[in-house]
Amino acid sequence: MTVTRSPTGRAGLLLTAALVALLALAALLLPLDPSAMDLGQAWTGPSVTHPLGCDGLGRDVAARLIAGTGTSFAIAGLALALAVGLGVASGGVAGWIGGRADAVVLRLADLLHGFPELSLAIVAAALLGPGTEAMVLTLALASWPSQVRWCRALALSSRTAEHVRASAALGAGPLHAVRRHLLPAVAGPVAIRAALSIGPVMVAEATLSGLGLGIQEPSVSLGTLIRDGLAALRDAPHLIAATTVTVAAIALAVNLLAEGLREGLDPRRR
Amino acid sequence: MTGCRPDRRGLFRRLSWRLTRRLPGLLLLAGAAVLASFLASHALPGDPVMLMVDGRAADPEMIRRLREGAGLDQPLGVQFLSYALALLQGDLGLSLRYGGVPVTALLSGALPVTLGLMTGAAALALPVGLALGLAAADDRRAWPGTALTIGSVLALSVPPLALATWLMLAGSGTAPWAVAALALPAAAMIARLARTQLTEVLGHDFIRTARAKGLGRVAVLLRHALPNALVPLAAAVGSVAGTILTTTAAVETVFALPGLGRLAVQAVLARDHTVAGAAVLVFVLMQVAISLTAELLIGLADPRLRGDAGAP
Repeated sequence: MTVTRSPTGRAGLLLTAALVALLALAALLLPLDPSAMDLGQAWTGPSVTHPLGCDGLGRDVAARLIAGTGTSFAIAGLALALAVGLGVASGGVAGWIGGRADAVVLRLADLLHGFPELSLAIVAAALLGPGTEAMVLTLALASWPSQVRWCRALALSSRTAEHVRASAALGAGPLHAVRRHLLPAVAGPVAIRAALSIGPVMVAEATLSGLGLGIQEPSVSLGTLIRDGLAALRDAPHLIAATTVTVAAIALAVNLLAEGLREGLDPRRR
Repeated sequence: MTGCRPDRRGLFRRLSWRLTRRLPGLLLLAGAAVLASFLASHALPGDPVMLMVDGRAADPEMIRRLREGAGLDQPLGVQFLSYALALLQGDLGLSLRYGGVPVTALLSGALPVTLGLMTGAAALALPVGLALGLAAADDRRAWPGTALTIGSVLALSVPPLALATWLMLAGSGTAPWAVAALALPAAAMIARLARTQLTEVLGHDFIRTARAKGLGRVAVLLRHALPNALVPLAAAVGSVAGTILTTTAAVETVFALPGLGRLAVQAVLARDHTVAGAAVLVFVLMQVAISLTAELLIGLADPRLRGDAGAP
């Protein structure tokens, strides 16, 4: 397998397997409702029924972590899907048609690239109100510029490839070329690149939501859990400890897998 | 580095030419940033005048006068023009939360804290990151590269808020620990980027020539590979500047440092829209400043710019 070619990839695979096994175990043994309250258990530390303890409203931290991980994955995936969709459309047009369209798209990508995540997050929160939509939009806009440049380069090299010019010489129309040559050439590399960046996007979500600029209560994400933990730093340090260790472990597993895939795909290292 | 001496005047001309070439793009970015800043501070849910009167049922006549006084009865286009004009004169309006305090006063109070934090972190992260990248670019053994990969992935996987919290709990919550919380991920990023660029450069023919003429490994790395890897490295550092800003905000929040990041985050949470809008602009400017500084500093080391013998 490509991933197992490097020690990094093997470590990632091992960590992912361990996390999935833990999750399966938790699903079998634990209550999984992230918002079920039991005020008698408020601020309690780890115990048999609540292995990671409870928060200030007596909600099970482990259940909240599992739910938050799901939300964060979904948000990162949605944002990347949006960035890839927009990136393939605009980057494909830019690289395939060239000329003025190319110049406009590149200029736009440069412009957006000049905006740091923080600025995007503040503008999105101001226009849409802080929450899931604003967060997805922020993360999608932040990763769009690099997707565009990548798709444009792929489209450009695909347009000038021998087999594409040969099919045009044989009388194939532009639609045929886009469907049969451009999209297949772009799809694979773009999908891999998007999958590789899911770790950093999840970390960005955790940071922005953790600061209060993203996902809001009552939704649960890794970011809101960090925020809860920070607020209760003095009362219940086990909250921030459990949350941050989990977030770091998940991001580490995803990033190690991505790094292993990258190394495995790199022809210079084979 | 034998041969001709660097020509300082030519160097200045070439550097300023590089900046001039980027000027149209920067001007466009500045315009877009002012527009984004205006949008964040004006076109939003919640009426600033109601915020000013603190939601109490105030006299309608007073609300009308307040609205006129703030220019809020004008069309958005006119409001934008007056916002941009005031901005050119260094006026960003008044904070809604701290009644009557100019936004510029809040910003200039917070700027030194952030700059100090970032300078300290850069002074730590640049040499450490470069050294680690150089050590990992050694292609005789595999383990330094693998160690750097796993170490840097680890450092970049821990969310900045978590890392800052751990360091604050481990240390005493003093400024050096805040600097470390920012420097650690930055060093990891620089080391990774440096290793990638160095590996790229080491594949070139002029490196083989340098080795063939009998130069030692260290001399090849420091004299020939490093200077030629610095320029793409500067560009790459510019592209991670946004992440560094987010990390700074996280570190300031955890360590309760009164910097720009914390000011912006608190402004958003308290719906202090004028300050939040100004922060949008400030962060864009800071990102530009980081990438330009990286380009200028490291551009000075570019053999092609200096006309050195180390150039390929």
